[in-house]
Amino acid sequence: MKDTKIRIESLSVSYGNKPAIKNISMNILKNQVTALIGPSGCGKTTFLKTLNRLNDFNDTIKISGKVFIDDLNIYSKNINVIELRKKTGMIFQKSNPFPKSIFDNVAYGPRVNGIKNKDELYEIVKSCLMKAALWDEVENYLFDSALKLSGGQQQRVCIARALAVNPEILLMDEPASALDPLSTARIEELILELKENYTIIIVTHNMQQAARVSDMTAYLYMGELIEFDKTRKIFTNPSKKQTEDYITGRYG
Amino acid sequence: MNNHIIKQFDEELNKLRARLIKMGLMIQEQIENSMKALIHNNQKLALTIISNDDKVDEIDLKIEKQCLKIFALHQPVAMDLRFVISAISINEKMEMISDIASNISKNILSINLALPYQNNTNFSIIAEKLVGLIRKSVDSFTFQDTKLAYEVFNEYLELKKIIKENYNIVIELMKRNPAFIESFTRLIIINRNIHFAANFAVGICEEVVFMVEAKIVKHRLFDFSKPDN
Repeated sequence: MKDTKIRIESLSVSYGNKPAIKNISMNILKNQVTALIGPSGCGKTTFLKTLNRLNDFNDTIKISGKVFIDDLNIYSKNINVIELRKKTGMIFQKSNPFPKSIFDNVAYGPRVNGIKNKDELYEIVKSCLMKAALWDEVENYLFDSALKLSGGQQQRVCIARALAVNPEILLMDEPASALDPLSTARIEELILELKENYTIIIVTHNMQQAARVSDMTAYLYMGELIEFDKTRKIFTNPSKKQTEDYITGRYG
Repeated sequence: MNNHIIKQFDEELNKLRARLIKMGLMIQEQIENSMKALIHNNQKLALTIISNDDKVDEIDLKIEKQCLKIFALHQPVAMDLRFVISAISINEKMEMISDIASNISKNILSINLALPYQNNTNFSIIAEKLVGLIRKSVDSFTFQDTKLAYEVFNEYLELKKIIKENYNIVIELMKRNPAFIESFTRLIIINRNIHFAANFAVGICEEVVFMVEAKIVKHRLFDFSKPDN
């Protein structure tokens, strides 16, 4: 049995009076990929953002319940939010490299953390690009703009950039939705490799992608956690009719 | 059950279901006729069964292609996945049952018409039971009725006993009537074939249980106390 990395207890989130997450409790296991699926507006992204407190920037938001990462409640008053965010790398739907070189993109976090030694930075950049399965493709272009890369490569730069601050958790919000099938396959392969060392939570609208890459799948509908189980179970014999209707395309 | 948002997916699944039901009716008829031919030693009927096997083969190919098409175009999951996976397996088993009917018929052609085997053996009761078993297995698929499937599992056990008994009866008759040794050998082959057909009927029902209840009961037919595979 794997250890729990994130424990969520009775989490509710609302924007003003509009509830977005309704009383969700679940355990996310260490070194596993957990997929969040559900129709648009069901609360997947909101849920993801509560895990690294990205929602803090929204004044209208109300959050109740508890989120523990390694038994530390991330919504307790004395938490260091910067340290928390270092633990949780985030990759978004649209790749968003800085308008800088590939090297500077990946070295950005370590530099902010005070690493100045060029050799040390180079080693970090190299290792992260290798982990992101991009090194072989960009080794000779490290100082070219990251914006010159293809969409799939840019997304892998963003993954390398997230890895450079040594996170423990990777939050991915539809990381391959804008990519062609080959680039998508590379990202998916990468996710499977990365789970050896990271706990990964991925939001995806692509059912087959959830089935391919995740160990556990959570189905959310209108802010409620309808079903959370092993991916194999969800895609062969879900317990709830609502889940079955959604994944088989009978929703709506 | 709700419809799929993509209507074409529903149409493809319905087409598959309809073809399997048609196939079920065809093999039911093949088995019924082969048993009639056996009981009445009707060689003309046996010939019809042999020629009808081609029609079953045709629909078998259509079903297989239909399943491939659904996998390639719609990537079914959950109940749809179980349905298409079961369809492939049920189709294969139905086709085998038709082959068996044809094989029984070929053997009937070599039985000496002067041999009155019907009264001295269990073939009449076996034929009746096999026809019932095949009909029930086809119905269990058509109506997705696992109650019928479980009935088939139990009836198969009964039939198996009678088939075994029948084997011994035929051997005894053979010893007493060596002049008909070839005919009795054919009857032993038919006896064995009937067992195979019953086995495939059980296989169809195992697939129905998988399709409807998502339980794999293969290889654990008579001990449901075991945990699911």
